[in-house]
Amino acid sequence: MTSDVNDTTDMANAADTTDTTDTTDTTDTTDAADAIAGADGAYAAEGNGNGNGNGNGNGNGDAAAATAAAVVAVAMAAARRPSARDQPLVWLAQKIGQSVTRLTTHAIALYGTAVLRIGYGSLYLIFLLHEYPKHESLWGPNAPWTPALNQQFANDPGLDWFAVDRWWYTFLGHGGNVWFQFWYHAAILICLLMLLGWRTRATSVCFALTIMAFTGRDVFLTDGGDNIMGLMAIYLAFSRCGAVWSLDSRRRRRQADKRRARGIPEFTWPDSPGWQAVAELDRTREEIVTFLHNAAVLVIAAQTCVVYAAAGLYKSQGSYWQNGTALYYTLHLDWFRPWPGLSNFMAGQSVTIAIVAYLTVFVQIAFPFAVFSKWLKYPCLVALIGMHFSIAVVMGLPLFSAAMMVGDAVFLPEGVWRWVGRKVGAGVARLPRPGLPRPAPSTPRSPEASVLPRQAQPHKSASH
Amino acid sequence: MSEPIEEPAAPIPEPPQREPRPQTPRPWWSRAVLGVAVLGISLLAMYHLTITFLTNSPTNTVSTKFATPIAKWVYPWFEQNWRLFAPNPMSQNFTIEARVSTDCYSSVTPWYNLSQMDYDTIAHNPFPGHTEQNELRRAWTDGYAATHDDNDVPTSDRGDMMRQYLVNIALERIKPRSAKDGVAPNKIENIEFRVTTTDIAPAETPNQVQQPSVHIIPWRQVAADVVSYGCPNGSVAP
Repeated sequence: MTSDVNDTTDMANAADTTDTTDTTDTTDTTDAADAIAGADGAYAAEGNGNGNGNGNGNGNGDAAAATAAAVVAVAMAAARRPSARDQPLVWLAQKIGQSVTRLTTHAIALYGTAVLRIGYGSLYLIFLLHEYPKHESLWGPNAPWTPALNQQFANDPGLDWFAVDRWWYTFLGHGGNVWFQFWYHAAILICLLMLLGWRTRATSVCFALTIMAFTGRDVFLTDGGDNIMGLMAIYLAFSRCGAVWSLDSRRRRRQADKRRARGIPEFTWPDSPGWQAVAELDRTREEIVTFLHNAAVLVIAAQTCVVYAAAGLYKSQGSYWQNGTALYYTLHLDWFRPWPGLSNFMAGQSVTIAIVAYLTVFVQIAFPFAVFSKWLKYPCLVALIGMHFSIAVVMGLPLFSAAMMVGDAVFLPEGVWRWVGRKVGAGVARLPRPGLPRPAPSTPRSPEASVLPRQAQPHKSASH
Repeated sequence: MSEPIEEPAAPIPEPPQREPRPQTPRPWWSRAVLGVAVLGISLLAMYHLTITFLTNSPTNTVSTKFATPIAKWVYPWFEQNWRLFAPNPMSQNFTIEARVSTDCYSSVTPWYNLSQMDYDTIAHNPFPGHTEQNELRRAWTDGYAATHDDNDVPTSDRGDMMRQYLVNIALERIKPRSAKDGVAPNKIENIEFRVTTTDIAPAETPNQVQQPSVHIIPWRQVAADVVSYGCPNGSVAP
């Protein structure tokens, strides 16, 4: 019991750079990251307790003992923690140390980033397949925006790009039609691999480069959907978006199962100093990667907030949004009227569209502040998703709307995604799988109830 | 243990973090590397977020003073614009037409309504593509109209590029159709545009008929991309 307590405190202290005191409260770590990612503090605390217990070799030990140890550790830490009033600097240093420790050892929003990876991967895949019949006249060597025009545009001195940027931006225009076809199909494959999470780090970098290559080939073909997908793809390349719900995670799980079956421990500290240094280096790398992931999640969340805040604040300056007629004009734009009857009907509801216009502006401006309160966050998310859904249908912008909706996923708590994952997993498990052997049929109670003899009745088969 | 124990609700599994390693005192270099990396990543993220804020904010003293570093960071990878339908949504509709002719206008096609081709494809289509919704729309509103004045004189360095883009889009759509109107695709020499802009009736009086304004981009020689006034044989543009 005593050793457990010590282990728990050491665990939290190990990466503590401040080193001011021995006591560290593992369960009461403040993390702004949780507010952003939507992870609930309860899960985090629970995870800390479990993680420490397993990490110290108690994996198969008594879980109750580990919990009790954690409780004791909390009580002891609470007793010895310096208060903010008595020693403000020590307290502050300790808090910062705890946050760094937490952010280098705990990846936030792993499910959220996985949803973004799957979402943007499949959206861009759908986009490329949907444009397939016209892809040559959109981005090919003979497209209206010719490679020569694109080159001239990318060399615009006002843009101040690096040579490598320029080169990549005109990449799809280089070479002939065969080259272009090759890259178009490679892009489709990359989207598929991104969606499946195969070798995700390398694939996510390729995915970001793919979107930027298409954006750069003709920036005048893009809209807000391409824009947000390109930005998010770049950010996702810095995240561990393949940690769950991916081929990578399946491979890691199988390798771990194999190791466990052979009785190889998860990790053994090497004997020689050289290999110990390598293991230490690997741990440091692991922590840096985790911190990078957390920073990427922060940037993704902040980018989404910037999108909504900018859109809302600019709208609030427009006279049509102020007098509530903005949607009337939007609904009359010929390029965004796939259902003229529906658009006309909605444009006629002047009171309703005025309320919706005000609501849109309010929710968009409020969003960056609402994410810090779960009472405001979820109503705002529901309103935004409803808004994007109606944009998708009424204005014929399904890809743009879906891209914006996927971006909201990072604000949902991990518990929701785990619940969704369980439901989907259960649903998939119930599906019939023709390729796999069926479970053995139960012994028939009577010859009539048996289904087997039917297959042995050649005179009734279709070929006779 | 004979009586059945009620199964507790399955605990929500923690997201799979990498397995924790046994902890040992960290060597100084490990702390140093981690510290530098944490600091570097934090600064990079903060720098990016600051620039992202400044590029989205209205032009202000800060973004004017640091215009060059902002542009260097933002273009082209982090370029963004979230002013869709803001401050005010567009309140006009466009009819973009074009016609082509052979050399010296010996044969001139009727007007082809390029924008109507888009509108027809979009109508009753739950999933329109970029060809219909973005190509001609942005080539006109963000491209040609944004870089030319009322007399079709380019107001920016990009003007020529944008005019070429518009012409290429028009030719791509006209070429499959012009042969039956007397101008074979390889005989197209000149092109003329007619853009009719109609204000959407004000919301207060939705049934009021608006007077459209017609703008003609005069005949231009496609290959040489110069204004085409007439011919040596005296024939003039219709």
